[in-house]
Amino acid sequence: MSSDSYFPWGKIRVAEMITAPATPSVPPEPSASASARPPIWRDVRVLRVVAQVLTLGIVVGLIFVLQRNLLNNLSALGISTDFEFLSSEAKFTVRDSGFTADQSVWRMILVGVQNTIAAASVGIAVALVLGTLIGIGRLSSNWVLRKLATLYVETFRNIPPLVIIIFVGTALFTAGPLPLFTPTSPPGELVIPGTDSNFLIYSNTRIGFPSIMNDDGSSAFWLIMLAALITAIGVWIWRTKVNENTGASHHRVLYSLGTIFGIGAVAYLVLGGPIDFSFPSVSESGRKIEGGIATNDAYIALTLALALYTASHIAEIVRGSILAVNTGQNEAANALALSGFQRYRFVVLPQAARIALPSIINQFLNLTKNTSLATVVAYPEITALTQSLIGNDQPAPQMILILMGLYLTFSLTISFVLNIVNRRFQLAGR
Amino acid sequence: MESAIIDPEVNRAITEANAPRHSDQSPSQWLKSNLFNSWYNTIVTVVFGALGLLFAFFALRFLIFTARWEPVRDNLQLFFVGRFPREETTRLVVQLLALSGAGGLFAGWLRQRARIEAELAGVEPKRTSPRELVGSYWASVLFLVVSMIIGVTTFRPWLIVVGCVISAATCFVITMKPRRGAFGIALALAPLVPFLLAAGVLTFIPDLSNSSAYMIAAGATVVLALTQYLRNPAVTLSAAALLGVSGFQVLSGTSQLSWVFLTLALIPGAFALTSSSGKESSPLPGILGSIVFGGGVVFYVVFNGFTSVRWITLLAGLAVAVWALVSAANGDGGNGRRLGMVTVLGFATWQIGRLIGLEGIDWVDWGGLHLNLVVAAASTALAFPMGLLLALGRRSSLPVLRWLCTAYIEMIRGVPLISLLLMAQLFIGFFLSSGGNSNTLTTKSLVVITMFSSAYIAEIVRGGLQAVPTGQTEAGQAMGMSPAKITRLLVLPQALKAVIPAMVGQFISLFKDTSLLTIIGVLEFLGVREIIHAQPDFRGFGLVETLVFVAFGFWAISFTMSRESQRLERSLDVGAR
Repeated sequence: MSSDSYFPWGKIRVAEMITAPATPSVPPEPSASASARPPIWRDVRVLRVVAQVLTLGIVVGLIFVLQRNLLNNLSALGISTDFEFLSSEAKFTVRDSGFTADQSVWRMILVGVQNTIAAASVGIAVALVLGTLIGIGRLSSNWVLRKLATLYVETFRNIPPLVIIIFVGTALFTAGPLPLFTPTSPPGELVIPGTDSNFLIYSNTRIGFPSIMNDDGSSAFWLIMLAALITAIGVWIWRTKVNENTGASHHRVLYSLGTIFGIGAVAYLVLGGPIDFSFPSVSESGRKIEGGIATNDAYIALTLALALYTASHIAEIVRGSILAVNTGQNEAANALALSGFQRYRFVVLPQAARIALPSIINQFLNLTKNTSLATVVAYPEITALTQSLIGNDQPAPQMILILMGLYLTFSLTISFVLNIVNRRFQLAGR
Repeated sequence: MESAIIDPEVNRAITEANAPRHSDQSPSQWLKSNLFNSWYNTIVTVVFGALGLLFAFFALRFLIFTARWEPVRDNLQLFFVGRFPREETTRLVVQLLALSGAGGLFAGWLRQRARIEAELAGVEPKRTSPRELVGSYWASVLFLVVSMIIGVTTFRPWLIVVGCVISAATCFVITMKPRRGAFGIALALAPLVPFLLAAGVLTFIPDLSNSSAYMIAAGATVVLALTQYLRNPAVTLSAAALLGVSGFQVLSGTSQLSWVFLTLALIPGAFALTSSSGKESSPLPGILGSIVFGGGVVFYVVFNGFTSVRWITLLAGLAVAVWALVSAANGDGGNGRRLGMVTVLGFATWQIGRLIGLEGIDWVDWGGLHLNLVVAAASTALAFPMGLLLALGRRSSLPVLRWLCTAYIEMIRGVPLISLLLMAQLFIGFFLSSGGNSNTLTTKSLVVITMFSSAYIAEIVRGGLQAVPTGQTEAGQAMGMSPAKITRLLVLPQALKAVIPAMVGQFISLFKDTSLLTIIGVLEFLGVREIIHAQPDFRGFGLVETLVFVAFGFWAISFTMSRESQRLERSLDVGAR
């Protein structure tokens, strides 16, 4: 029945025969007492240490071999392996940035980082708002709204972001209906009625928006506004307390906004107009936008496309989170005769947000990483600039290492900050 | 580039909401209660209805009237298979036939499994309603039909489509219960269909002699007949995998590593057949198996000549053989038996591959949508074992192992795929002592995509492992099982089942990510556009049309798969935990 019938000397002896010569110093029979340690090759404590040392040894050895190969290959090709190239000249310019060709490589990397942050932050904001609205729209009782939201989600979720970026860049700006921006064919202008200032300048390469311009005394004004913000937060806390203590309506949004705008208006009048609106206009040469904020087609294409793509994912998360809120909560809200809006605002959404937050953080990270696709619309963010720099004979391994380090920093920063938010946000004891 | 990791709670809610349901209202009642039940709802209906109609009008006007589909029409073959040599197109046909057959067998496997599980649980097996299938597959079918309509004058794949349908249907049918009467006889003869199909088509491949073609066809028939006769789910799975792998071998040749994949495909069936022979009554098979394995390793190294890597292989292999021998002598012959089985299978497939001797088509010549699917499938398959190990490592109680795995996973997940692809394009070969110049760009990108996706798969598997209740592990410990056995027999089967829908999601996102290959200059589905718009006829013409076609292709396949993953999630009852 057992192996003993095949090996008359018993099964333990076979094991000894094979293992004993390898470790002759160990006695063949472990001590009979229960407190004695098992033989060294069966001692879990020893095995754990051996396994870890072995793993570490293999990994370190592998890294060592790979690094040695890389250095050998690079020096054979005459490629530098240090980081001195960072202070050399970049030798080319960056679109719409004021960067000159004689500035150093690391300054160009900074420009790229700035552009990445510009695209990611606006993209995240737009995607969050759009995604939340569409996610709620998917749960609407209105059939038309629900189906349109579903159509949106199912379309954008299943198309690669790269294709969407190229699509927005091509369909809107290259082959699209927008006017050119040349001295002979001027861009389109949206004039604010009754004035001659432009609200929007649009063309297939440049787009201009109004912005806020600083005049004399603006620094004092902004300091006062900062103080106003802090005061408004105090007012908010005060009104919340009043509400909690007396049950009176808090109206904290009204009170806080009133504080900010009241202080702002007074400061504006006292300081004699420290800030002003700046409206975009076409320059004399007909090739540039003066005043306002000028952006270009690449930036709009990238941000819009990523926002559209990520919004479809956020919408799905929002919908799932709302559905995941316990049905009893809805029923309780109905039993309290809350209106549909009140039910969403006070009962469902706060709980859904708690469920959705970790997944939405993930989407923010994805959007930030997806800005690296900007190279197809030639938006000069960090990946596209890295590619151009490598094309201009800067050493590839170091550039890619810097690139990965930067993205790792973005990712870790976002997830670190938002994880703190998430921890504050989650219910204790869950 | 996004991960498929969503809170399981959220996923469950979505799955429940997506389940099909029926309404019993009359149309006018429905209109009233859904669209015009209050004044603001009426406004919403009118405004969004108008917007929707306007959008539909512009979209349809573009698609049907203003769009110029010439760039797509004249280059359909480029879109689907890139610069694959035209005289070798037969191989693609064989691959399509084999893959459809594999799909049919796979569906049959799911059905067999569901039936066995239902029998064990004493309930009626669940049926897939045609409605659900249509809901999943209409997008892909629409894409194929549209491609054929566009390319009706340049591209005539009707016969191939018919062949694929026959192949899939036959393979599905042979997994079903035997019946009586004329229909039953027809079913019993079904395995002959692939013989005729394969023998007919294979003889057109230039590098393949006719006798080899007939041998392959006969082999396929034998495998299918066995599958039909045994009706064992593991055998069906093996047959499906075998067909799928051979589909790829037709493209990449039968030399080199093909035996590894063929062996892997055969393992489930072979193990199931040998372990069903009864209890472990004698250690002889285990000891024999260990010896065969050791001999196989020695033979492999001696046959191929000694290098430093092969020395390590030899030592490691012998150590494993000795370990199996010891455990067999101690009464646990399973490992030795399995090792021996793998050795025999490996040797057999290696010899068969050499006998068939089909030369492969180099990666460089692959392209188009075909390449996207191949890269996504291959890297998912390769990354899965890596991801599994990383997930187990991340949950290990050994701190060093845990830190290393966590560092790898978080580092890969923190950087965009494009930075890894740039590394592949520019200098990944430098990590090899040879400089890696002999590897093509596609191979290098496959390596980094596998690295990338293994980190995401590791997180998915980790989620599955966490979903297994601790009681399962504790029960295993109470039974006196070793940690390795608890993981292999208790935790992993449950975790992996829970993970299937998320894996499909990962495959979808990987499939979408293969579009990035165009940035580093690999000719995939999106990259084909650049070639087309460099042609003198289409320079700067039809830019939007080709892009719409590409987007539609990506959309159709991703949509179908995401619907399938939702269906799987419902049918596997993963959410019910």
